[in-house]
Amino acid sequence: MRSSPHILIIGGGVIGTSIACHLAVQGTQVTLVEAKDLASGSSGACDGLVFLQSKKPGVHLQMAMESLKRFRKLQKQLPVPVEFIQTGGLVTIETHEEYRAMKKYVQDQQAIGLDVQLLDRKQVLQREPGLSRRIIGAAYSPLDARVNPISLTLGFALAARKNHAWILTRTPVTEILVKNNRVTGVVTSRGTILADLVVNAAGAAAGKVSRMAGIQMPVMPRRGQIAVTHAGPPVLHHCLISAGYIAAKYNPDLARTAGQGISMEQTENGNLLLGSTREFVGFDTGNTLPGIRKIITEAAARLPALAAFQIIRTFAGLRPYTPDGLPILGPVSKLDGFVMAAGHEGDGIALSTITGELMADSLLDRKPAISLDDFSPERFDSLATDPMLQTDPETWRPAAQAVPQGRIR
Amino acid sequence: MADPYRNTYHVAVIGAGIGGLSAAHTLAGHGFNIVLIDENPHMGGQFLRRPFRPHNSDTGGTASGSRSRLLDRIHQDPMVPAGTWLAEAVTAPGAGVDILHPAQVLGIFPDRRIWIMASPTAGTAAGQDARLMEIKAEILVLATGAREQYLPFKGWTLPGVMSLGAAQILVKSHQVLPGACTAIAGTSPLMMALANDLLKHRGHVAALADSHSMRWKMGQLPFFIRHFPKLIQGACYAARLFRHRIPVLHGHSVQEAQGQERVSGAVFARTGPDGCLLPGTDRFWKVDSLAVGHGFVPNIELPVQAGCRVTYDPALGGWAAAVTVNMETSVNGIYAVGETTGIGGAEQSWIQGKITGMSILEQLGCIHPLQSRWGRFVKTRHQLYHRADECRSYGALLNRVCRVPAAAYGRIPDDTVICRCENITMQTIKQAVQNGFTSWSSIKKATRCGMGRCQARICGPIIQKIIQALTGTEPQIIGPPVSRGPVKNLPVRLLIPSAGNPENPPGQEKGQ
Repeated sequence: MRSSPHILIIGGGVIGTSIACHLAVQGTQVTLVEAKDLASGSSGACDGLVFLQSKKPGVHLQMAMESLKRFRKLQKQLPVPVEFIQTGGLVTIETHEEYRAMKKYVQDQQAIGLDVQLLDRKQVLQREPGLSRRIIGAAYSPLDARVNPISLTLGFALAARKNHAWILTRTPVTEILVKNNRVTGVVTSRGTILADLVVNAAGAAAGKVSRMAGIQMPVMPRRGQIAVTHAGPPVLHHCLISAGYIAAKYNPDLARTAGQGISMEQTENGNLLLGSTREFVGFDTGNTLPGIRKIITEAAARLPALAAFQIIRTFAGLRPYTPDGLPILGPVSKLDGFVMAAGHEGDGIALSTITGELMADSLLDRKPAISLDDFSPERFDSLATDPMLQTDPETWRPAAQAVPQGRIR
Repeated sequence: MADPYRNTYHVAVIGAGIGGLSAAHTLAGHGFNIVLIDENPHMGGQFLRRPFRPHNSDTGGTASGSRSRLLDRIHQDPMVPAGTWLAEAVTAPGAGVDILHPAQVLGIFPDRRIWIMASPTAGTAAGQDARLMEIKAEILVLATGAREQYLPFKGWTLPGVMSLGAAQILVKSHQVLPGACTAIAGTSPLMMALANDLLKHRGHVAALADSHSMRWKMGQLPFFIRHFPKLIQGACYAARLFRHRIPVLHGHSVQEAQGQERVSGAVFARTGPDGCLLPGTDRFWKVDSLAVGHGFVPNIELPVQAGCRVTYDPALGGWAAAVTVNMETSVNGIYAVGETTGIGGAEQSWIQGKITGMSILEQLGCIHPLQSRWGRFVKTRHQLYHRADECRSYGALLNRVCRVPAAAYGRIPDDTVICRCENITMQTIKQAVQNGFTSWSSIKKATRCGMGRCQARICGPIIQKIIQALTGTEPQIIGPPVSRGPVKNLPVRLLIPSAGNPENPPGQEKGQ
C-alpha cells in the first residue's frame, strides 16, 4: 500500500463533500463520485438548522457542539458565503405534558454543559413577538444557528476541488470491486476507478451502495417534506422547532400524541422554510397534499404572521434513517477498505463539519478528536436477521413499534 | 355554503383554451362528469382574448373602435369564430360540463388528485374570497398552453418593456394601450398582429424591428405556400402597416431600452450573422413602451408534476410533453393537448382536442370495439391524424421563424439581470457556468436563479439557452426545469381553517 492512499468517496452531499474537503486540504488524493449533481439529494432538499437542542444528550450532543465550533471558523475556509448565523434557537412547548418532558430534557443538556434555559410564555414573546400566545413556554439556547445547506455543500466541493480533489458528477457507481475481501475500486458509468479506500457517503442510498459490496447496512430513506414561502419582511428571528420535533425523534410514545413536530427558519433572503414530515415511503421524493397541509397549518398555528405569506414551492428530501438515530461512521470490519459515513437522518448539515474532520482523521489512521466507537457499523451486527436488512429499502416500512429504543449509548 | 362542484370527476380538463374547449366539447353529451378549469375569467385562453368587462377608466390612452372593417374581415383567422362557437357550446347550460374559473391548478398529486385555488367571483384566482379545492379525476387532460420566450437585453426589466402577449392583453382584454408610442421588436409573427391591434385601437407604433433580414424571410416564403391563409393574413397586416407608414426595420434587434424610472427610448441595431449586433448601426427611437417577442415555450409545469415524460425539440418550441398519436402522455390516464405538446397554433389545439376526446371516449368504453376498428369513427380519426400532422409541420415552421440564434444568448451584457425574482445577473450565471455548474438543477443551486416567486417560468428557458450558448451543452443534458407544487404562489391564509373556509375542508365528498 502506498504511503498516501487514494480515497474514493461515493456521494456528493454535504457529508461526502465535507470529507473530500477535509482530506484534500491535507494533500490526500481524493476522488468524489456523485450519481446526479452536487447536493441533489437530501443536502439540497432540507432546512439549514444547526440545532444543538435537538441532539440527544451524550455523544450526539458532544458531536454537535464540536461541529458548531468548526462552523464559526468555516466561513474563512470556504470560497462561497455559507450564510452561517447564530440566531439562537427556540423549542416551543404547547402542552403541560411537553413542558414536563422538556424540563427533564433541558436539565440533562445543562448537565453536559450546554447553554440552554427554559423560558415562560412572557419571556418567549419578548424574544419572538410574532409567536402565537398559545405557546406556554420554550427552551432557548443562544448557540443554535442556521446555515445555507446548498452553499455549504457547494462550498465544501469547491474548496476540495481547489485542493486538487477530483469531483465527478453525473457518474453513478454501478459496481464495487472486491478482491480477496478487500475493496479495490468502483465501476462507474464513466469507467473503472481504482482506490485504496471507498467511503460510502451516499446518504439515504447508503444501504443500496453497501449492498453492492455485499454488506447490509440499516440505512433507510425517510422522507421529509418542506414548504418555502416567498421572501418577506423579517417575522422570525430565531430558528424554531416545536417540542414535538424532539419527541418525534426520540420518543415514539410522545410523538403519537404530539404529532411529528415542525421546524421553521427565515433565511437571509427572507424566505421562510417550513418543515418537515417524517415518512417511510421508499425512495419517493414526491410531495403529498396532507403532508403540505399539515406543515403549513401547524406552522401558522405557532406563527400567526405566516398568514400574510405565500407558499412558492414545496419539495422533499430523503433523510438517511438509522434504527438508533445515530450516524454510521467508520470502517466496516467485514470488508477491508470499505468505510461508512452515512445515516445522519436530519442532522447531516449540523454535523457535517465534525463528520468530515473525524472521518478524514480516521481514514488517514490518525486518532480522531472524538472516538468513533459509538458510531461503528458493527453496532448493528445483531440486526443481521432483522427484517429491515432483509427487505428492499424501496418497500420497507417500519412495524408499529419497530423503532428500537435503548440502543443509544 | 353550498358547493356546486363535485369532488370526483370522470374527466378534468385543465385549461380552457382552444385545445381544452375542443376536448371538453368532444366529451360532452356522453354522460360523463366533466370539469373544465381555467385561470382566466373568460373562455378561449390566450387565443380568444376579448374585453374583460365594460371599462370606464380613461387613464393613459384608452383604446377605441376599429377603423378599417374590410381588412379585418379579410384577414380574420377562421379559428376565431370556430373558437367562439366552441366556447358557447361548452358553456351552454345543457352541455353537462362544470366550468371552474377563475381557478388556478396548483399541483397534481398521486392518483390524479388536483389541487385548485378557486375564486367564486370574477377576477383572479387568488382573490380575497378564494378557497382551496381538491378534485380527483379518473382522466386528466392537460391543456396548459404556452408562455413567451424572452431574450434579455440591457434595460429589459424597465417598466414599460413588456412581452407581445402582455401588450395584447392590455389592448384586447383591458382596452388600454400599452403607451402613447410603442415600439415592437423580436422574431415572432405576433409582432405584426400586435402592431395591427394597436393601430386598430388608435395607438401609435413608432417602429417594428424584425431580427430576421428581408432576404431570410423571402427564403422562408416557399415553405409558407402550403399555409397560404397565413400568408394572406400576413399580407393584410403588412398592408395596414404600410398604410399607416410604420417604419419596419428588417434585420434589426433591440440593443437597449433606455430610461430612468420607465422606458423612454429604444435603441435598435442591425443584426449580423449569428445574432450579433453590428456596431455603429444603432438607431434611437423615442418611445414610452416597448413590446418584445421571441416565440413561445410550452407550459410543462403540470405535466412534469404529474410525472409525464417531456422531450426537447426546437421544432416544438423547447421542452414539451411527449404524447402518443392519441395524445396520451407517458402516464396512463393523463392526456396533453395543444401547445403543451409543442407550439403549433390554435388549429392544432382544436384538432388535438378532438383526437383526445375521441381517445378518452374509447378508453371509457363509449365507442364499441367494432366501431373503433371500422366505420366513420376510424375515418374521422384518420382525417384528424392527418390534419394534426399538417398543423405540426406549420408549428415547426413557426418555431423556426421565431428562433433566436443560440449565440445571441451568450452575448447578453454582464450586468443584465436574468432571474428577476432573485436578482441574478448574467455575470453570476457566467461565473457559475465556468465553475462547472452546467445543468439546470446545479446552476439553480449555485446561483439561486429560478428559486423566486415565478419558480423559473421566465428565466428557466433563458438560462438553458445561456448554458447552451456558453458551453455547447445539449438541452437534454442540461435537463428540463423541475416543477413542484404550487405552480403559482399559494397564500398561506387559505390553508388556515379560521382565516380560510371552515365549511369546506378540502377532500370532503359532496353530499356528505
